[in-house]
Amino acid sequence: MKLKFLYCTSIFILLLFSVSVNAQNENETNETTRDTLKYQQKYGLRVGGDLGRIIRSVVDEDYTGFEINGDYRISKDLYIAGELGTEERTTTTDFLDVTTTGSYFKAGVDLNTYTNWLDMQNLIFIGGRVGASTFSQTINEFTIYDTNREFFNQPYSETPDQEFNGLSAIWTELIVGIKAELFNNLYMGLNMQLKFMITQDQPSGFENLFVPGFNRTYDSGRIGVGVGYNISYLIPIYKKDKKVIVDNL
Amino acid sequence: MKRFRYPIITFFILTIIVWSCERDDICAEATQTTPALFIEFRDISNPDDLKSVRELRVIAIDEDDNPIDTLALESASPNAISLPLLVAPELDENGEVNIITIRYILEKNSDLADNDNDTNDSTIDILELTYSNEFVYVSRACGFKSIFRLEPVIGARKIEDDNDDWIINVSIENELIENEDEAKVLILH
Repeated sequence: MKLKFLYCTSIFILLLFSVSVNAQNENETNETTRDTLKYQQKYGLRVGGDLGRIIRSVVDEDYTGFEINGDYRISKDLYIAGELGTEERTTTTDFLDVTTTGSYFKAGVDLNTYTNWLDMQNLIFIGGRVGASTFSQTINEFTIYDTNREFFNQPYSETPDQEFNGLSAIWTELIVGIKAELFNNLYMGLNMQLKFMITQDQPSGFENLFVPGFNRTYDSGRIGVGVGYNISYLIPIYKKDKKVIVDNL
Repeated sequence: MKRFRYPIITFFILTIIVWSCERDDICAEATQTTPALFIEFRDISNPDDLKSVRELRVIAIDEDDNPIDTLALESASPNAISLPLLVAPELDENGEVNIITIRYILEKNSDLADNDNDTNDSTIDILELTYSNEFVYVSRACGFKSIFRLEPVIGARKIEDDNDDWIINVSIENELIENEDEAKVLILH
């Protein structure tokens, strides 16, 4: 519940950001200047980690996770991006207690849609990913769902400790987020992912309740969601000039 | 920038909608989960017809004939009942299929049980059910259910043949109990 609140807050903040940034942008285009100023733009590799997963690992005893991510700028607005992570999650309902452990890899591109002022290098990006995960799932405990369980007054539970190994899944993601430069070369980012499962190995006589990198699955379909809070550092490799006049046209 | 504004906002709204619409953490009532044993009471002279049992009382008993619980019936004189089945391990200690036995008292004219008139009393029969169970995964919200398989011939039978019976015959229509759609056992009286 706490997490849901965090997610919702982050959505709200992201929305707020995109609106206020748009407003700034409009002002800028209204007062078009014809200066031919040049600003140096840094190109390089940005590497970082997911703070959200670390915090959640500390706060939530049913979760342990870690993710490193990176992007490499290949043109003014285009970045190659990827994530690598590992997660362990115990899903507990009234009738099931299941632990999923595994790691994942995601690769794709980010497109910066934000026109920066002056020499700033912030991002509001939209991107795509293909994700893959290998994992195992263990049924720690289950209780038979029986609407008559009150009658004999003994709901039946079992602790089979049954493990399903070598499971895998492949999915695609649409990702939207921001990356803001807080200090020189140090970036803070928020993003949201909407995921669509392409294929997954389902354990026989059971199903995947959680897929590392994809997050929880839903009975009703292939859709999944995710949120990331990143902190990253840009390792500049070379610089390129940005002509402001070109951007304003 | 402008051309991306609407896709981004749409994306967020869609995500929120997808999120909030997910309700599958609650097991829907319509989901077929662990079934009870559906029994119909039929007329011995015309087995195609249902025949209600007057003032029926149904009590589950243990091996020592001590009552466990009384089943709540929808109608006082039903022509069909659903008996809960006890869920137990699939396999016994030796790794063999676990055979479970439970007993139900079916008492006809139960409203007359306490009067002192011997010629106008309730009639008690005991139904014994012998079966094995199997666990089947349903969904994230419902977890696992149990389905049951009645033992051939002895799966459902009347025990304790005294001269004071109202049940004439018990027949198994379907040994496999995985739903409550149709009668699995018929009681002729």
